[in-house]
Amino acid sequence: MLKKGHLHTVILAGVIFLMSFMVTGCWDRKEIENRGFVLGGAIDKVITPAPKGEYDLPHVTQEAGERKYKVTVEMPRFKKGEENVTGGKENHYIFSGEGESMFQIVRAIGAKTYFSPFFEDLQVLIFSEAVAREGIKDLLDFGLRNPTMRRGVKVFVTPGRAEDILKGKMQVAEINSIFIAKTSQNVKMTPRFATVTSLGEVAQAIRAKRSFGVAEIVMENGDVKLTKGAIFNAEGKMVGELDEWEIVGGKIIRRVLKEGAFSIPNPANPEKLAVFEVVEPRIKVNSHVDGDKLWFTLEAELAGHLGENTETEQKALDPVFLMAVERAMADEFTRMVQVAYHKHQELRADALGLGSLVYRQHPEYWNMVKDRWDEEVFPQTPIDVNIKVIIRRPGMIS
Amino acid sequence: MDDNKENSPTVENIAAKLKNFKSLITHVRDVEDEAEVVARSLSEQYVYPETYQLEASLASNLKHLQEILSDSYDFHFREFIIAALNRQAAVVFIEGMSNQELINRQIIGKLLLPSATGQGDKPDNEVFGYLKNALLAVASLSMEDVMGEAVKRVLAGDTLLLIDGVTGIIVIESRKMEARAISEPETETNIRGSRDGFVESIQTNITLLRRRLKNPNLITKKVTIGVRSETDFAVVYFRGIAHPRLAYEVEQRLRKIKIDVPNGIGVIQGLMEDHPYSPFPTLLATERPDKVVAGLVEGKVAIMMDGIPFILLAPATLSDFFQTSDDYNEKWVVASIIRLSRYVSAVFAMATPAIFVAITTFNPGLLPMLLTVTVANTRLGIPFPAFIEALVMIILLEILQEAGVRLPKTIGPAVSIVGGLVVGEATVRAGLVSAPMVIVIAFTAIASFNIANYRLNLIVRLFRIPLMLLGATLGMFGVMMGFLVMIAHLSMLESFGVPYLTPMIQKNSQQLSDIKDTFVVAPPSFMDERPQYLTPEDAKRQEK
Repeated sequence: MLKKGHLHTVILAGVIFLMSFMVTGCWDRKEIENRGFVLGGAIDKVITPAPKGEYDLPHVTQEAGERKYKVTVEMPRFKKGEENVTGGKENHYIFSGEGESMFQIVRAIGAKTYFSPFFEDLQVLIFSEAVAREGIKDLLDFGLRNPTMRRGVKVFVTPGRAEDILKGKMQVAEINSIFIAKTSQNVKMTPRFATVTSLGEVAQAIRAKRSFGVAEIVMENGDVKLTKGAIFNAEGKMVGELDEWEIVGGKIIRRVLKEGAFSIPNPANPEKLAVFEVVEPRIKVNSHVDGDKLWFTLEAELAGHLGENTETEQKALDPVFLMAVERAMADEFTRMVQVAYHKHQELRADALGLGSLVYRQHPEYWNMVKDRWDEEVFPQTPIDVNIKVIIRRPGMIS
Repeated sequence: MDDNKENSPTVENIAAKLKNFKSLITHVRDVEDEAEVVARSLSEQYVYPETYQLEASLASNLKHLQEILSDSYDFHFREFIIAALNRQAAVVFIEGMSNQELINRQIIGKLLLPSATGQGDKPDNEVFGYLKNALLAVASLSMEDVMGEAVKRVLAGDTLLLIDGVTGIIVIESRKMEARAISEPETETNIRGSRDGFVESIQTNITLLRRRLKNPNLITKKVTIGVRSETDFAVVYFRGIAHPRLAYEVEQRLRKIKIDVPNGIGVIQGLMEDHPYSPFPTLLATERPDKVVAGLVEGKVAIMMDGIPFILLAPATLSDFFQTSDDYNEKWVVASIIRLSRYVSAVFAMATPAIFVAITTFNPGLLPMLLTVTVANTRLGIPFPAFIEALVMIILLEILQEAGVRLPKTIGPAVSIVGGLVVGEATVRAGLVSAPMVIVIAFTAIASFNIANYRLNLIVRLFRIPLMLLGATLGMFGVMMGFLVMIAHLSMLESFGVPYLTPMIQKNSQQLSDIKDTFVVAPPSFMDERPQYLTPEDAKRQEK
C-alpha cells in the first residue's frame, strides 16, 4: 500500500502535472494547415494612397506614423492532391498592408485571414530600390525583434516594385519565394552573380556600422536573374550599384571567387575567343601601414584551364600562345579588380570588408581612422594589384 | 359486492389461487435447496490433514484418508493381502497423476506373490525393511510418519502403501505427469539459435539446463510457495560464479511470499520485485534455455515455477530487454547494428506520434519548408485536430494488436486485412485521417515490433499516449519533459541492488568494460570477462 508520505508526493506530482496543462496554455497550438507560412516578403513605397474599391482594405490604421510602406507577403496555397495535378488555381496567396509600422502591418494582415502570418519559414525578403535608398535600418528592427524570424532569410533589392516579384507568374509551377531561394543557391556557378546576403549578415553589418552589399534581383517573362549588387553605406542606405564586372572584381577582393569562366579576345586571332576557367584561385589581400600612409596589396594566383579556344588553327599546347593568354587574362582580372575598387571608393562605402582587414592587421591604426573610414580614409587608400594566371590544362584536341 | 365477487368460484379466482399455490411450492423448493447447502457446508469443512493422527489400524487410517479426500472421484484405493506376510494392506493413489503400470506390476503384483522363503509374518517394526529389501521393485520409497506429509505426496502423484499394524505410511514414488512436448519458443523465435523452449514441467526445465551445464556447481534449490497449492519453485544459480548474497536474497524473497495460490509467474514477479509500482519489469522472463544458461554463467540467478514455461532471471537491467540469443550467433558487426536498431525503434515506437503532433501543431519550423507544405496539403480538409487524429489511430492500433493476440490463429490474418488495409485506406480516402498520420502510426507499429522483448513492447506502447498528450499541450517542450521524467524514473529503479540503467550509466570505471554488450555486441574474443555489475565470484570467462 502507499504510505502517507508517498500519497502526498503523488498528489503534489498530480497538481504540478495539472497546473502545467492549465497554466502554460496552448496559445502556440495551431494545426499546420491553419498556419500562414510566410515564404516571401516584399517592401515597397506606397504609390497611390487613393483607395481601390469602396473600402480601403490594405490601409492599416495606426495611431502614429504615415501610410508609407506597402508590405506584401506570399503564403503557400495548400491544396489536396487531386488539385495539384489539374493545376488551375494559383499556388500562392498574396496579402498586403500599407502603413509605417511593420509590426502593425503584419498584425493587420493576420486579422484578414484565419491563418495568421508565421515567419519561421520565411525564405526571401525583397526591398524595392526606392525603399532601399531611403534606408532599411529602421525596417529591419521588426525582423530581428520577431523571435520566429530566422537569420538565414535571403535579402534582395529590386530596381522595380518588389511586390511584382512575388506576384509575378513564374515559368516553373512553384511558389515564387521558394523558386528564388532555390535559384540563389546556384549563385556560385557564375562569378557575375552578386553574393546573396542573409538577414543575419545585414543585421550584423548595420549593428557594426559597416557598409555592405546586397544582391539585386530582377524578374521578366517568368524568369528571375540576380544581376547587380546594391551597395549600402554604414547607415543602411543604398548608395549605388555594381555592374557585373565590378561584382567579379569585388569577389576577388573579398576572396570569395571560387570558380567561373572568363573570356578574352584570342591572342592568336583577336576576332576569336579564348576562354579561361578558374578552378583553383589563391588570393591574398594585405594591408600595409607606414606612418600615416595605408595601402593594400592584392596578390592572386588564379589557376585553371583553358576552357575554350575558338581559334582552332592555333595549337593549344604552344607555350608562347598559353603565356599570351595568361598575360591577357591577368590584365583583364587586374582591370576588373581596379574598376570594382574604384567604384566602392566613389560610393564611399567599403562593402569589401577591407576595414575589418585593417582592424585585424593594424588595430592601432584602425582606432585612429575608424570613425572616418568610409568617408575619408578608404576613398584615398591605394591598392596594388598583382594577379597571375596559370593555365594548368590547355586541353587536348587532335 | 366486491367481497362477494372475490369469493365466487369464477375462472379468474381459481387461476389466482393456483398461482398462489405454485409460488408457495417454488418457495418450499428454495428453502429445501438452502437447507441442503447449509448441511453440505457443515459436512464439508476445510480439512487440515496435519490434524489427523496415524494409527496402527489399516481400517482407521483408510477412513481418515477417505475423510480427507473423500468426494473427489479421481482418488482411488485398493485393498489386498500381502501374501508373504499375510497382512491386510491397501494402495492409495490419484488417477492420472501416478504411473498405473508401476502400481500394477511392481507394487500390487509383487506383494500378491507368495514368498519364496515360505509364509510367515514379521514383527511390525521389520515390515518396512522386509518390503524394501525383498518385495517392492521400485527405486525410490520412504516411510512417512505424519498424515499431512503423506497427503501432500499422494497429491503430487506418489502412491501410498498402508499396511495393517504399521504406524506409518510407505510412500512410493510413482509420479507420471502428462506434459507438453518440448517445442520452439513462441514469443522468442530466432534464426540461428537453439530451437527448444521451456515447458510446463519444472523437472523437464531443469533437465534442459543440466544438459547444457554438466557441472555439479549448478545448484537447484527447491522452494514451495502457495499455502493451498504447494507449488514447486526452484532457485537456480551457478555456485562459484553468482554472488552468494544475490542467490541468498532471491531465495529469501521467494520464501517470504505467503500467497494462497500463485497464479502464474507474473504474480510472483510482482511480489518479489524491488519496484512493484513501476511499469518497468526488473526481472527478465524468458522461455529460452540458452538465454537462461547465458544468464547463469554471467552470475545471474534463475527462478523457476512448476507449470509455467517461463523462467525469471534476476537481476535484470534495461539493456537486458534489448538482447536476443541471435545477437551472439550473428557476426558482431551485423548484430551490433541490429541491436542499435532496437534502441532506436524503442524511441520511435514511443515518441513518433507525439513528435509528429508536437511539430505539426506547435513547432512547424522544425520541419523543412517543403515538407511543411506537403504535410499541410494532406491535412487540408481533415475535420479533426492532429492530436485527435493520432489518438483515434493509436487506439485503433492497440485494439487491432490486442485482437490479434487473443484470436485463434485462423482468424488472425482477417483482422490484419480489415484493420490494416480497409481501415487505413478507407479513412484516408474518406478524408477522416490524413495520409502522413497513417504512415506515422504504421511506422510506430512496425518500430514497436522490432523491439525483441514483448514486455518492453507493452511498456513502450503504454507511454505513447501520455507522451502524445504532452506533445499536444506543450509541444516539443512537453515531449522532452516527458522523456526527462521517464529517464529520471528509470535512473531511480533498481533490480536486486543493481541500478536499472547499468551498464549504460557506470558506477565506477571498472564497470566501463560492461558497455561492450549493451548498445553493441563486441567481437567474441573481447567478451572475456563477466559483467562487473553482477560482482561475480569469478570474473574471468575465457583464457586469452
